Amino acid sequence: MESLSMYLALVIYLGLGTAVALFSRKFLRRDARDFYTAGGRFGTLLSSLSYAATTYSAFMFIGLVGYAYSTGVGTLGFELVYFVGTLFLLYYIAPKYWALHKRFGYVSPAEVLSERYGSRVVGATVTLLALVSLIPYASSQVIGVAIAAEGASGGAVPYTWAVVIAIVVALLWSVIAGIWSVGWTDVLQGMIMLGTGILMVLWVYLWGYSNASFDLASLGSLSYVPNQFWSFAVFLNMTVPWFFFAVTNPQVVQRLFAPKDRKALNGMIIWFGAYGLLFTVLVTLMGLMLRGMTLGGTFPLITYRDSVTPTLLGMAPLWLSVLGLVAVLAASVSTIDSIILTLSSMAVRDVLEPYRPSPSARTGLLVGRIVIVVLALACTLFALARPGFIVDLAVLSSSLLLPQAPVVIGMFVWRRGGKASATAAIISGFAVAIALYFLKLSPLGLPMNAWTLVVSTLVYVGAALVEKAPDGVEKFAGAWEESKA
Amino acid sequence: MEAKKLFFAVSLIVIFLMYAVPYLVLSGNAGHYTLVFWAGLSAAYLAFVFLLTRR
Repeated sequence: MESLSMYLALVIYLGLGTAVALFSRKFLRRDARDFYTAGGRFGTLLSSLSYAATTYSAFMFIGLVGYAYSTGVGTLGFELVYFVGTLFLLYYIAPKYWALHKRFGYVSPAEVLSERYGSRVVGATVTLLALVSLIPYASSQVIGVAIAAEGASGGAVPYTWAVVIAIVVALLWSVIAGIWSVGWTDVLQGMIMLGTGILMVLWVYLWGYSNASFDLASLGSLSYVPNQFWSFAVFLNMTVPWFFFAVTNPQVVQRLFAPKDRKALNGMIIWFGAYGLLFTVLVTLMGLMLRGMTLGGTFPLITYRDSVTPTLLGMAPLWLSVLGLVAVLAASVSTIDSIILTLSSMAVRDVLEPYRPSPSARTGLLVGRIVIVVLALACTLFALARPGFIVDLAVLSSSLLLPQAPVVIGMFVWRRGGKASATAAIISGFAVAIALYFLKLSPLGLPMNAWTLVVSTLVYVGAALVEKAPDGVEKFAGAWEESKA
Repeated sequence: MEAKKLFFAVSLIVIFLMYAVPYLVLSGNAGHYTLVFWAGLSAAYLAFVFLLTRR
């Protein structure tokens, strides 16, 4: 009966989502710019919920709940540093990206970097970096779905099946109408995620309260920092790449092209902020409450932290288990399809087209589809291997993308530097991140991500001091000024 | 003060406080203070961004 209900719920979710995706086709104009960026025609609702659903993923429902349960309130600080950093960066950078798209029609985030730094090598480098770095992140979404499905169904929905379902749905919804189908299904999924999050927290609170076992004060060292896990070095290491997420992750940068006007763009920032703050507090509280209930004896002690939410779904009433599973699937799919779509656009615009001028539309489409399939296969294999915890995989992805931060920020605040500055900063930062990650070193007591940021920034600044910006850099500033008029 | 300079100054203070207050001021204090501080400061920052984008 339970597995029947689970499969029925999944069929309804897939049917509804696919109907929404097909409905969205009526907005699609048949060109690449519209397919990947909506031609800058998203209103506030689509922009904000799509940005939120793309950003918030299984990382929140599975990873962050488990992290709060295992390590305490430091988890909230870690995620809220991301939140503050994102608002800070969006306030400055979102209007500039948006204005550049309006003025020059850029499709991929790497294309902007190529133009500013005067060489397509920069865009190709960023694209290769993104292709490598985002596989662990996309895979962690699939792992989240599969673990939740196993837990919620008591094993009736097997891990492998859940992996396949998540990948197929993400592929389907991204190819139906590109950003339009992804955006409209994001609206649906964003509402499912937040609504279910609220219901789950309410139910946990009432369940814990009625059993008189919920007490945050009993958490002891888990209720403050530093504690046995959240030393300052750990907190710094995890927050540095997360702080710059909004400018280093191409799937969210590309979303900045979509709003139809400045009002929609500002609305996107604010409504995303309201959504993100509420969602972050909800999932963190859920983890802390469940830990309090473990201490009170009404929730089992979980040692594998990614199993906290699946265990809860297995214990909850059937209606909540089903909703929870659908919400985790929605959170994952809304992120995976965006990543796949963005990487596909980057592969075509920043790797194929510069090195094979004027490819036919058919060739471009074929390469895009090949990239989508290869990425899907890579994510499937990665997810089936279950290489690590969801939060760790997500942070690893952001660590590898971090060397872009000085290059992107420098593009907007400094009129120096060209191809050599940008590529040297990215390659040196990436090399440092990889070396310190595998050697597990923290020279001078500074964590890996701090070194990555310091090295890439120093290389960028040092090289840009001696390398002039290419001709045409002024047109960037001109576009921003035009957008204010 | 120009809005962008005000935003930059306030943001730097907020970011500094996100790290400094829990680790230096509230360090080792049991209870809900750390949670309330982080959530409250983030909410106040969101309200600040809202006000600036409406100008």
